[in-house]
Amino acid sequence: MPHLVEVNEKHRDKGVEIIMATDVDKAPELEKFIADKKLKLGVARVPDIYKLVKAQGYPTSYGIDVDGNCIWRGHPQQCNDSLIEGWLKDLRAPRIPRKLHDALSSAVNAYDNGQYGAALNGLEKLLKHKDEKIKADAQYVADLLNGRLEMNKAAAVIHRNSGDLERLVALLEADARDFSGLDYAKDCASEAKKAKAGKAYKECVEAREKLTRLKLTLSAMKPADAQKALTKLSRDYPDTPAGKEAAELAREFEGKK
Amino acid sequence: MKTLLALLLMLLSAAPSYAMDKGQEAPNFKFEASWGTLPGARQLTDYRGRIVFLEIWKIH
Repeated sequence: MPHLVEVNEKHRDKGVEIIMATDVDKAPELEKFIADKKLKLGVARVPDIYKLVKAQGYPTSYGIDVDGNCIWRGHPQQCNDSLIEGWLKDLRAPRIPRKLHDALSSAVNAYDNGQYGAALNGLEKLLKHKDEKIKADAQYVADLLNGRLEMNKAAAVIHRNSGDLERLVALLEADARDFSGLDYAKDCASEAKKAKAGKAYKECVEAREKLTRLKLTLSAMKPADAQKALTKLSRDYPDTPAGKEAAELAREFEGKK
Repeated sequence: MKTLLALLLMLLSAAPSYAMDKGQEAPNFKFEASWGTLPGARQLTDYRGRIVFLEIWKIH
């Protein structure tokens, strides 16, 4: 479970939710377990969960997309950053599951095509419509889009604070495209352009490329040499995500020497 | 005949069961209680719009 706590802390604000579901029927027993293990995860008691999903055994895990469809099944130990990041690449607004008023057809069409800025602009007048049904439907779609926008803003804050400028730029460029037509999109485009022109961004890219190449040769290297190369990379690029990862890997090789 | 009817009734009243695998819609199960990072959530559909990593587990 510790690796799931790590995954949760790293990816929760980007749009991933980890749910540990169990059918343990005694709440005090479960509460004691959560307290004893200091579990910083989402835990839910779901009667008959094992039967509901026809799990093949304990523990079993599933990936579920934004529309509630299963996209992966496997052992929890297989959950890692690259798996989650692969899912996050496809993070889009959920499909609208019900028929909305015809007055919203243009906005819904924009929504379905990933033109979220155009959809929000199209909803603006409908949110003040005198027909309560139209107003409620417009509010429903606006809430979906604003929820996504807020989630992306929160993810951007995390990338900014951690110095992960490559991810920050990718997110900002995607939002500049998807929310085109809003001031927010202009701000995203401007920040992405500024970040890409900076030294820190170039260092992030350089460090990542070097670490990728180094990783390919690590298994053929003596542990001492691998540690030396990783330590050098971490010192050359101390503030980049790749530099930090190299430092962690160097510590692992320290124990193997 | 009575036994047959009883059996039929049992089958009809049984809770629906869903096999969950890649490509299938997850059953919308209800949370009887939740802790940690799931404040206020009552069911799986509360997480529409997010990617969910669901682990089914037991206390050993």
